[in-house]
Order: sequence, then structure tokens, then C-alpha cells
Amino acid sequence: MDRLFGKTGIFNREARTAWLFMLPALVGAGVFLIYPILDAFRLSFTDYVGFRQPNFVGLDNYVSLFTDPDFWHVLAVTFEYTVVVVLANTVLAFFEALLFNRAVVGKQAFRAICYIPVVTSFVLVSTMWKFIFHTKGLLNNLLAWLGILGTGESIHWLLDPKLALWAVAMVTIWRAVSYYAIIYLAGLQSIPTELVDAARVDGASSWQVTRHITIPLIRPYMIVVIVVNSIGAMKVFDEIYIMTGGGPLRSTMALNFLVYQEGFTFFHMGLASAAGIVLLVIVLLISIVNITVLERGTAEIQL
Amino acid sequence: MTIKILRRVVGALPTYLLMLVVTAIFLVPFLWILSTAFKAGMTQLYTVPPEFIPRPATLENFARINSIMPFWRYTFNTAFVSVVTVGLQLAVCAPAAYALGRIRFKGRTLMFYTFLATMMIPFNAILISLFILCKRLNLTDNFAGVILPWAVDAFTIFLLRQSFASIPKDLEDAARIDGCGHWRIFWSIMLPLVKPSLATAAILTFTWQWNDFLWPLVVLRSKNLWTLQVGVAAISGLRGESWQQISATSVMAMLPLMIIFLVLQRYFISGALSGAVKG
Repeated sequence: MDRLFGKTGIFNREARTAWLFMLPALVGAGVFLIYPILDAFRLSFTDYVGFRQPNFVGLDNYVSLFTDPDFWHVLAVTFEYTVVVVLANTVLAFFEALLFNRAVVGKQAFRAICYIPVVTSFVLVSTMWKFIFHTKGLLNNLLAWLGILGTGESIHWLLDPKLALWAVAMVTIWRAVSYYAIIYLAGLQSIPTELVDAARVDGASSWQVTRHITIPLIRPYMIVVIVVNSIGAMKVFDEIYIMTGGGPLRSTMALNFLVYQEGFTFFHMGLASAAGIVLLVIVLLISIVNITVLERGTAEIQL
Repeated sequence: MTIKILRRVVGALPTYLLMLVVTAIFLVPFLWILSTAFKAGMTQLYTVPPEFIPRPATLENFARINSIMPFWRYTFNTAFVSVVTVGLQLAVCAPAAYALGRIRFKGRTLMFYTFLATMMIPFNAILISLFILCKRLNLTDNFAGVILPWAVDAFTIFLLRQSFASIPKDLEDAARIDGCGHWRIFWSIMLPLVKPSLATAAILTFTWQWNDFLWPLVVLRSKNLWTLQVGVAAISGLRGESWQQISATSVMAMLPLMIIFLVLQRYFISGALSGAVKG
């Protein structure tokens, strides 16, 4: 008994208090996070359709997913979208951060305005852009006014299977880029000014400073941006639901939307769980790959 | 002297120009939806060049805001759910964060990594099973079902843990000498000291829950329980609903959070940073 509850036991006074403090969180996590993930695994091996007893079907769901060319199409759509969004955000956010960093009057207001899309919900942003992407909407009208589109010409942003995904990506980027810019800004502000001053004294140009000092020192922040963005992009849902519903011709059918549709429109809950598990595995892989590949060669600053 | 000032202004011109362009890119969509909200009739919606100033301007769309969806009801629902989520989450996560950050006990590292692991779980993977679980627990079609799954958030725990851990031990030692136990220390000393982190966590959670769409969509069947996001999504898909009306509703739906953001900017920004620097 003393081994457990004595001064150095596992359940000593300190420990008991700690476990008590953690109890609600442990219960909550157990019920709403850990149990569901285990159950998702279990469900993925069944043919549950929401009402009758599920039967164990082994790997059938996974087999039918991976032998279905449409599933590979969905994976391709998700990957294309993720790559484009992450690339664009990583690059654009960096330049936006440089702009944020400029010491000019009104920079606080500037940052605040840029950040507004980030705090606006996906649903509202998508609704806004759905109207802008209308065939006779703001974007086409602006392009026509600028002479880029001829009279009678219009771009079917959300209706052209070849364009719809990029339109959705554009909206995602527009909404989130300032978030990543703030992260980069933290990185920019952490660069010791002595380094930059020393370089300038040695005659370095702005471009050289950026290339040889700023970018290497920004690397850890860039990694964070890439990892967080990849995970977020893989989970895209709201924009697709509002703007395209997976179409046209399934050109915007991303994995997360597929999980929702299979589970709640068609009630193929076993299959949907399997797709969800696939998404989980992909997200884990992406995180691991990103972190290991990008961590190599991070600049070590010895000051 | 004047030359110096002139030089500075001229030197800053390219920056200002760029800033203007970028501001326009972010502001124009909002301005467009704002202008559309004040328009009546179809004539001004699809013109080339686009007309940003409604002629005539009308408040009709705002007056009818409750006619296409129970706007005020949904606003209340969303606010209620968001506030309760914040309260519950802080109540559950703060003590856990304190334990992880300040109490030495066997299994602390294990618990740390357990909570870390829950952060890796993408919501979509548990969407279906969580829904089935909530159905069994009678948590569908009510606010509890929208709130409870978010009672525990590993990110909040880590954010608070970091803050708790950074408080110097002397404060704790002094309290101990006065005979305080962990609960007193937590409640009377530690919590007040981590107020900024609590505020940041509160803002992040509030925003997150306010803007959430997929889970309320799945859990809430009764139309009178819907949140703003679900409501706006529903009307934006309606055939024959005018864009003017949708715009007015959207503008009103955007306002609360936008105002909160403009007033409490630094908590949003610091929240973004702590998300990054958590490592």
C-alpha cells in the first residue's frame, strides 16, 4: 500500500491531485477523441449503413476504395489542391510578411485589414466569392472592364471542370495567406539586426541580405507554415460545400467532402469511415515527411 | 529638414503603393458584398464596369433579414454555443494544464504525449464515429452535442501549460509556506497570472466555434437550433434567393466577429503566433 500511496508512490499526494486536476480532460478526451478514433477503425471494417446491425467485412471497404478509379481521382484532386494551396501560401505569405515588416505609418491598420479574411468563416468567405465568381459576377466584369475579356466572353470559374478547383484554391489562399504571413513576420522580427547591419557594412545589397540571411533564418517558420498548411488543405470542406458541391463533374471532389457525402448523404458509414482513416494516414504521413525532409539543413545560429 | 522628410515620404511610396494594392485585394470582395446588400432590383448586379455605389441605396434587404432565415435566433444560438464552449473548455483544460505544467508526478510525460497524440487526429477521420457516439448518448439535435466534443482541446492545454510552467517557483513556495494546497495555488495565484493566455485561448476557441460549419451541420437537425454558418449555407444554396438578400444576411453575419477582431486584435495575432511557435 505504501508503495502506491506513500511519499514516493505512484499515487502519492501530489499525483492524486494531478490526476484529479486532469480528470475532466481525460474523460473528455477519452470519450470524444480516443474512443471515436478507435471506433472509426472498427467501423471501417464493417458495412454499417446507419440502421441495421453492421457486419464485419474485413478489408472490403478499403479494397473497394482503392480499386475504384473515382477514389484515385478524389485523391488526385485533394493532392493537386493541397500542393497548389501550400505552394502559393508559402511564397505569397513570405512577401506579404516582408510588407508587414516595413516600418511605415499605418502598418497596424494594414495588418488588421489583411487579417480580416482569416477571422471570417469559411462559409461566409465562400458565399462572398460564389457571387464574385458568378459568370456575370464581379470578377468577370472587372476583367471585361479592363479589356482582358472581350464583350460577351466570360470565364466560368465555378462551372468549368478545368477551372473550378483552382477557383476554390484561390478562395482558400485569399482567406488564409495573412495568417501565414503573421507567422513569417514573427520569424522576420526574430532576425538579429546585428547580422543585417554587419552584412550591409560589408556592402551587401537588399537582395543579398534577403537571400543569404533572411531566407535561411526563416526556414523553421517556413516549415511550420508548410506543415500546418498541408494538414489544413487536406481537410478542405466548407468551400467545396458552398461553392461547388463536389462538381462540376466531380472536379472538386476532395477526400474530406467524399467522407461527408458517403457518410451523410448515402449513409455508407463503413465506407466513409474507411475513407476517413485513409485521410488520417495521409495527414500523418505528410506531417512526418514534411518535418523530416525540411528539418535537414536548418541554419544553426551561434551568436 | 524638409528634404529629409520628403526623401522619407518618397522612399516609402513604393511600399505604400504595394500596400494599397494588397489592401484592395483583401477589401474589394467585402466592399462588393456590402454594396450588393444595399442594392434593390437586378439592374446593378451584373454591370460592366461593376458599380459599387448602389443607386438607389435601400435598407430593404436588412429589414427583411429575419424573413429568409431566423437571423436573430441563429445569432443567439451561435453566441450561446460559442460562449459555453469557451467556458467549458477553459474549465476543463486549465486544471489539466496546471497539472501537466506544475505538478511532478509519475506518468506526467506519458500524459503529455497522450494529449499531444489527440492533436494529431484530424476531425474528418472521427466525423462518422463521433456522430454515431453522440447519437447513442442523445447528444444529437441539441446544443450539448455541438459543445461537448470540444470540451477538451489539446492545443489549449499546451498553450496554458506553457504559461503555467513559466511562473517562477518562488511564488508557489511562498504560498506553500502559508499552507496552501494545489487547488488554492491554482485558483488564487496561478490563474490570475496567466490571464493573457486564458484570453488568447478564449478568443481562439470562441472564433473557432463561431465559424464552425461541418459539425453543427451534421449534429443539428432542427432548423431552429441551427447556427449562423449553417443558416447562411442553407440560404446561399436556395434557388431563387436574391443575391442582395444573401449579401445583406452575410454582412450581418460577419459583423459580430469582425468587430470583436478589430477590438481585440492582439489576442488573435498572439494566438496565431503561439500556434506556430509551439514547435
